[in-house]
Amino acid sequence: MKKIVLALGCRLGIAFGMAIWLASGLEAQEIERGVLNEQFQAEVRPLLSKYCESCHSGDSPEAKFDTTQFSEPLAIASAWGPWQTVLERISASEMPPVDESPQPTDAEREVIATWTELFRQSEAERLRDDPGPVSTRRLNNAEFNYSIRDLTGVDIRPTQSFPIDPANEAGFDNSAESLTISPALVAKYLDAARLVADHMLLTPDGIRFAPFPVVTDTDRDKYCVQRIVDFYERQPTQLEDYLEACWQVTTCRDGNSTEQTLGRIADEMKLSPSYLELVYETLYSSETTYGPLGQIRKRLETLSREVDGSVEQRRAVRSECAEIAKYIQAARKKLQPEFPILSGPAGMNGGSQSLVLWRNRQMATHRRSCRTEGLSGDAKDSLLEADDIVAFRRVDDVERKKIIQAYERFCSVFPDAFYIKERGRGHIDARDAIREGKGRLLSAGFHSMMGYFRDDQPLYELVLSPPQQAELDRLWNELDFIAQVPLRQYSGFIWFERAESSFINEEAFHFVRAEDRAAASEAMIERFAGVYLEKVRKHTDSPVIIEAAENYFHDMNAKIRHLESQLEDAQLKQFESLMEFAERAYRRPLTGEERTALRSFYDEVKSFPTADHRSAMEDTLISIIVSPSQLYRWDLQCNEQQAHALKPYELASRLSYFLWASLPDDALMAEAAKGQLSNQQAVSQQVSRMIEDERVHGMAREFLGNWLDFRRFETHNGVDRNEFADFDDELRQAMADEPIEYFLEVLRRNGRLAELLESDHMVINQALALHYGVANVEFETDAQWKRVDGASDYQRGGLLSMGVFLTQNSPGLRTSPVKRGYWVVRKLLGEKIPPPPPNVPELPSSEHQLGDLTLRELLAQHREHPSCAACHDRFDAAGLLLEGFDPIGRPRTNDLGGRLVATDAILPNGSEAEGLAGLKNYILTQRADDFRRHFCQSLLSFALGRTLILPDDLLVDDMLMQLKQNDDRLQVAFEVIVQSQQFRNKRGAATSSVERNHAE
Amino acid sequence: MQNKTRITKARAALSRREWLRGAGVLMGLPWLESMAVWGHAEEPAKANDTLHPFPQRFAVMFMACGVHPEHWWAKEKEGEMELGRCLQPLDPLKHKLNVIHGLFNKNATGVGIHPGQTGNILSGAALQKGAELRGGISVDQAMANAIGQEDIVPSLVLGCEQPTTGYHETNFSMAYSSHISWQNATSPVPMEVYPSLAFDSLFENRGTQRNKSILDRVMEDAERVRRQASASDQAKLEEYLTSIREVEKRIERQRSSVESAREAVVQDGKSLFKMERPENGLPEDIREHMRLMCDIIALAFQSNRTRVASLLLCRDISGLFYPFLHVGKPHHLASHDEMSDEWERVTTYYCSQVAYLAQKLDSMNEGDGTVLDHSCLMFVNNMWSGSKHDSTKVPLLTLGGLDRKLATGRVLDYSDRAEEERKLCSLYLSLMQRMGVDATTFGDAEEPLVEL
Repeated sequence: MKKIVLALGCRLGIAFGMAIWLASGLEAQEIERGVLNEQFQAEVRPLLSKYCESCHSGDSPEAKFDTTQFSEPLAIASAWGPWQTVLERISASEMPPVDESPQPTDAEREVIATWTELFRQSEAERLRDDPGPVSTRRLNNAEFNYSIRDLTGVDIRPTQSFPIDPANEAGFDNSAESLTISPALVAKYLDAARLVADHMLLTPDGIRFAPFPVVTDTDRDKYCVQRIVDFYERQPTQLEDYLEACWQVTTCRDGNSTEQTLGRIADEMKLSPSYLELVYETLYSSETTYGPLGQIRKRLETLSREVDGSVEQRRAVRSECAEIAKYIQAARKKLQPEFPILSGPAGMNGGSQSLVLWRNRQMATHRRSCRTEGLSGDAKDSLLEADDIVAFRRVDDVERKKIIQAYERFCSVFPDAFYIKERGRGHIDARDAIREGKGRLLSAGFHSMMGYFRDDQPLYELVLSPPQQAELDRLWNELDFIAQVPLRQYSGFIWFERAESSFINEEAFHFVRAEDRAAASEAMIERFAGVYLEKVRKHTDSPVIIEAAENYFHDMNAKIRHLESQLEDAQLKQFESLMEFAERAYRRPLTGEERTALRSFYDEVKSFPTADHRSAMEDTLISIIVSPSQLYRWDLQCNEQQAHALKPYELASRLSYFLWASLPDDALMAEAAKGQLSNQQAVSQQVSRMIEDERVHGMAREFLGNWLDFRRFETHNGVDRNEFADFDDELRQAMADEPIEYFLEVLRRNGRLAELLESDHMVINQALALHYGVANVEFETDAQWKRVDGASDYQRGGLLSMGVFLTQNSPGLRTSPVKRGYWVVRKLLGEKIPPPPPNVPELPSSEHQLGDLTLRELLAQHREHPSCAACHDRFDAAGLLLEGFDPIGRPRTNDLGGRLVATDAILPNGSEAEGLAGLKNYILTQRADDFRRHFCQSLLSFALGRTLILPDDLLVDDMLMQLKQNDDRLQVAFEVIVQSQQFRNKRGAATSSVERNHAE
Repeated sequence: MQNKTRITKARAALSRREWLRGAGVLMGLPWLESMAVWGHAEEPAKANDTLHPFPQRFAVMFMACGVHPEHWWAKEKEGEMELGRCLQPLDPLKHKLNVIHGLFNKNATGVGIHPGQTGNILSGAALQKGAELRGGISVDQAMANAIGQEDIVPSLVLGCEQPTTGYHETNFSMAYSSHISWQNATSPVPMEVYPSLAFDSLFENRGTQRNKSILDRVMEDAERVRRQASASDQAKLEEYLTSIREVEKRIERQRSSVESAREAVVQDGKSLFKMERPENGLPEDIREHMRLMCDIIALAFQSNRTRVASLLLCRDISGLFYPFLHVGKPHHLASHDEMSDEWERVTTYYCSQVAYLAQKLDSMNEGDGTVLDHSCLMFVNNMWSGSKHDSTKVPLLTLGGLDRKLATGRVLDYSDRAEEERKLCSLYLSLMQRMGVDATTFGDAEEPLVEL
C-alpha cells in the first residue's frame, strides 16, 4: 500500500491526497506523516547528499549554507524559509551551478518539488491556525515616534537620531526577532524622553505638550501668546461681512422668521449670531436718521432688495458693504475717547507700569464709548455730522438727547476695535507706538519691561458665545499661569523703578531686590507699596497718579496671590493628568500597585534638594516613557505556552500597531473596556474607522516603505543635483510620499489590489505635478494631494512608474536596469534572488562616460557569462523595459550622453516586450499571482510582526481566495487578517511548532 | 511663596542642555579614562608629567554699561606692568594678567544701545529685533559642547541679577540684555541666580542622581513584568534589564571617579577649598552674593565638576545699587556719569571681584602650579563708555596661563588695527583652540587673534 502511494505520490500529488483522504482523521494524518518521512529519507535526502553536500557542508559550507541541516522533515519545517529558497533554486536549475557536475535530472528535481508540496500541505493542515511564535519586543523607532505623537499631540519625533532598526527576514522592522536593546539605546531613550519632557507644559488643569521645547520664559511666552492671538484671529470681526449678511436677511423671502433667517445666515457665513442680530437690529429695526447710523441706513437702502442671483449683483453688494465698513471705521475713529499719557512725579519714568496700565485700562473699558466732548451743535469743533449740527441747533432738548443717543448707540454697536493684538510703548506718540508695536503681541506697552495687557472687551461682549468667552478667559489665565507672568512682571517693575526710572534710589527702598523671590510675598509687596506710595503722594497732587499707583500694587498683589493659589491647586490635577498619560502610554488601565509606585517616585524626586514639583513631574514622565510598559509591546507577551485568545486591551494594541503603527486611541480603548472587541463585527467596524483615520498613514508608510524598500528615500542623497537641478528636498519628499498616498486612496475607496500595478489615475501633489508635467490641476496648498485621472498620458498609473522607485534605483548620473529590474522582481514580485558574487565588473558611473556601447549593450555582455545570466536573465528585462525613464524618473528618448534609448527586452519566458506597457502587460498576464501572493505574505508578516511560518501558507491561500471571490477588493486582505486565528490569538514563543511537535 | 516660584528657578538650574550632556556622558567611554587622568583618581600625577596635563578651565565674568575710561589702563614699563586705578585690585596678580585693549564685536555696533550690544557679547552674532529671539551660540557653550561633555556639569551659568524679557526701545528683546550665555541661536541658557541652588547643581544634577532614580524605578517595573513572563519574553526583558543596569553602573562609576578625584585633591593639594552650602534665599548684600558665586566657580573648578563657567555679575541696564560704595544711583544710571568718582569706585569694585576669584583659584595648588595657572579667567564689559554707549571697543582682561598655552603679564593693544584683526570672536577662537577644541571658525571670526 505504502509503496503504491509513494510511487503515485511522486507523479501525482492529488492521488496521494485521495489515498489519505480514504483514511479518517488523526489516523490519516499519522499515515501521511509516516509516508512523507519515509519518502524523504528514501528519495529526497539521497538527492541532497549527491548533488548539494559536496559544497554545502563541513566547516565552511559554500555561501555559508549547510544542507546537511535538512536531515529530516521536522528540520525542514523549522527552517521553512531557507528550504523554500533551496527548492526555488533547484527548480529553476540555478543549483547546482551549471558549470558543476553531476547535474540532477529533471525528474529528480521534480521529486524534490513534489515532495515539498505534499509536505507543505500536510504540515500546514496539521498546524492550521497556529498563531505562531511572537514574543514581547520594544517599539521600533517609527512606532515610538508615532506613539509619542499620539500621546502628546505634537510630532516631536524623538528617535530621529537613533540607529536604524534592523529588519527581519521578511524585510520588516517590527518583529521581536530583530528588535533588541542595548545600554546605548537605553541612554538614547532617556534622552528622547527628556526631550519629550522639555515639551511638557504644566497648566492649571493638567499637563499638555507644546510643539517646541518650552524650557525658557520666552518659549513659554511664545506658546501662550500665540494661542491667544490665534484665537483672536479666528473670530469673525469683519464689519463688511455683517453688513452683507444683514442685506441677505432683508432679501430672504422663504417665509421664515427674521430670527430664524439671522441664525441661518450667521451659520452659513460663519459669523457671530449675537453680533449679527445686534447689527441687524441696530440698522434695520430702529428708526433714527441721526449720526453715522442714519448715514449707514441710507446707504444700505440703495442696495436692491431683489436678488437676481447673479455674480455681478453679489459682487456689487460686497463692494458697497466694504465701502460702508470703511465709512464706519472712519466715523468711529473721530468719536474715540482720548486719554492723556500720565506724567508721574519727578524721577518716575513715563513708561512705568502703573502709569501705562492706568491708560491701557481706560482705553480698554471705553472701546464702545463715545467721546463726550464735541457732541453738540454749539461746539466749535463739533463731532456731529453737518446735517446733525443744523438739526441740533433747531430742535428741543428731548430731540437733542436723541441725537446724542444715536451717536452713543453707533459707538456702542461698532467699537473702535474688537481687540488689541499688539502694542508699542504706551507713553510715546501714538503713531510711533503703532509702528513700534508690530510683532509685540499682547504687549502691555511698558518701557523695557515684560508684561501683557488684555484688551478685548468688545470682542468678548459682542461677538463671543459663552463657551468662547470661557475659552478666552482660560487662555489668558493660562498665559499668567504657564509663563508666570505676574511674578516676572513685578520683578521687572522693581528693577525698572531703580535702573531706568530712578524713582527708588533712596535708602528706604534698599530692602527690595528684583532678584529676590521673597520680594513678591504679600508682606514685602505691602512694605514696598507703603514707601513707594508715600513718595508718590509727597511728590504729586494728582489723584489719578496716586490712584494708578495704589491700584498697581493692589492688582499685582491680587494677581500674584491668585497665581500662587492656582499653582498650589494645580499640582494634584497635573499629577492626575500624568496618570492618565501613563494609562494611555501603557495602553491599559494602571494597576493600583503602579499608581502607588508612580506616586512614591514623584514624592521621592520632589524631596531632592534641587528638585521641585516641575522636576518631579518631568522625571515621572520620563520614567513612564522608558518603562517597559510603554517601551515594550506587552500585549504580545505570553504567560501560557498554548495558543489562547488575545484579551480586549491586547487586541486593541495589536489592531492599532498594525493599522496605525501607533497606540490605540480613546475610542478603541473604550471598545476594549466594554469587552466589545471579541465580537467580529465590532472589530470590522473598528478597522473601517481606523482606515479612514489619518493615522493610517503610519501603517502605509511602515508597511509599504519596508515592503517596497523606500522607507529611507526621504534622506536619499544619490541624485546629482547639478545635473538634475529640479530635484530638491520637496520633490524628494513628494516622491517618498507618493506610493503611500496612492495606496491609501485605493484602500479607503476599497479599490482593487491590481490597481497597485496598473491604473489610469495617480495621486499627486504640486511638486509631483510639476515633475510629471501635469498641467491644468490646481492645488490649494503645497501639502494637498489630489487624485488625477488620465495618468497613462504621462506614462504613470500604478507603482511601477512612480518617481521614487525609478530614482532610488538609479545610481546618480545613469539609470540602472539591473537595480530597477531587481526591484521589480525581488520587491514587487517576491522572487528570491541570491546576492551577486564579489567579482562583479563595475559599470561606468555616468551615461556621459559610456563610450561606444550603450548601457544595455554592456549588460548584454555581462549576461553572456553563464553564471551571471542565471540571475540577470530573471530581472534585467524588467529594468530594460523601464529605460524610457531617466535617472529621476522622467520620460526620455535619449540618455544623458545623447544616445537614443531602446526600451525593448526579451522576457524570462522568451517573449518580446516593449516599454512600460510591455512590463505591465507581462506582470498582469504572467505574474499577477506571484504579485498577489507576495503582497499577501508581506502584509500578513507586517500585521503579525514576525516572519511567516509554514502553516501561515493556509492563511495566505485564504487571503488570495477571498480577494478572488470579492472582486480583488483591497480591504478584504485586511479583513481576513484581523479576523484570523493568527491575529487574534497568541502563544508563547519558547516552544516552536516543531518543539511542540516533539513534546506531543 | 518660596516653593511656588521655584518652578522656574530650579528649571534654570537643571537645563535641558545640561541633561542632554549628562546623558551623553553615559554614551561615551573616554570620560572614564579622562576623569581618572584629570582628577588623578588612581594615581596622583607627577608635577612635571607632561603626559598628564591638568584640565584647562575657562570662566567669563561679565560687567555691563562700561568702565571708567580714564582709570582703565595698563602699560608695560621696564618689564613691569603698571595698572590704572580701576585695575589696582589685580596688582598682586599682574604677572598672570593680560590686559587686552581694542577688541570689539562688529555686530554689536550700529544697532542702537544696550540689548543689541550685549546679547552677542560672547557669540559675535547678529541679533534679531522683535519678538523672536535669534543670535548665536556663545563661546562658553561652544566650549562646553566640545569639552564639557565629560564633566558632571558641562557648564555653570550663573548670574547675580534676574533676567527680564520686555522690549527695549531699540525693539530688541531685553532677553539680550539679560543673557550672555546662549545654548543656540534661539535659546539663552537658563541662569542660576540663587547661590544655594547653584551649589546644589554641582552635586545633584540630572546626569547622575536623578537619572539613577529614574532607572531604579523603571527596573521595578521591569521586574514586575518579568515575573509573569514566559521564557522568551523573559529573555527580552532580561536584555532590557541588563541594559538599564549597565547604564546605572556607568553613572555609579562616574560619580565615584569624581568623588575620588575630589579625595585626591584633598590628600594631594592640602589646599582644598572647603565651602559650606550657602543658605537658601538670596543674600541681601550684593557683595555677599557675588562672593558666593565666585566661590562656587572656584569649588567647581578645583573639584573638576565643570571646566566652563559664566558669571553675569550684573545685567545690562543693571538695577544693582552700591550703598557700600557711597554711590547714590543704581548701576545703569551711575554709568551715564562715567567720569565720576562714583563710577570709578564701581569699576574698581568689579575688578576686585575678578581679583577675588583669581586669587582664590591661585591659592589652589595643582601640580607645579595652581588652578589659575591652568585656567583662563576672562573679564569683559559690553561697552567702553556708559554715557556714549560705545561698543566700538570693549574693556577686556584675562587671568591665568591656560596650562602654559597663554603667555601672561602682557598689555596688548589692538586699537589701531584693522577691524578684521580686532575681533572678539578671534580671541574666543584662539582660546577655544588652545583648550583643544577642534574649531577653525567661531562667530564672525575665521582667524584666531594675531599676536595673542
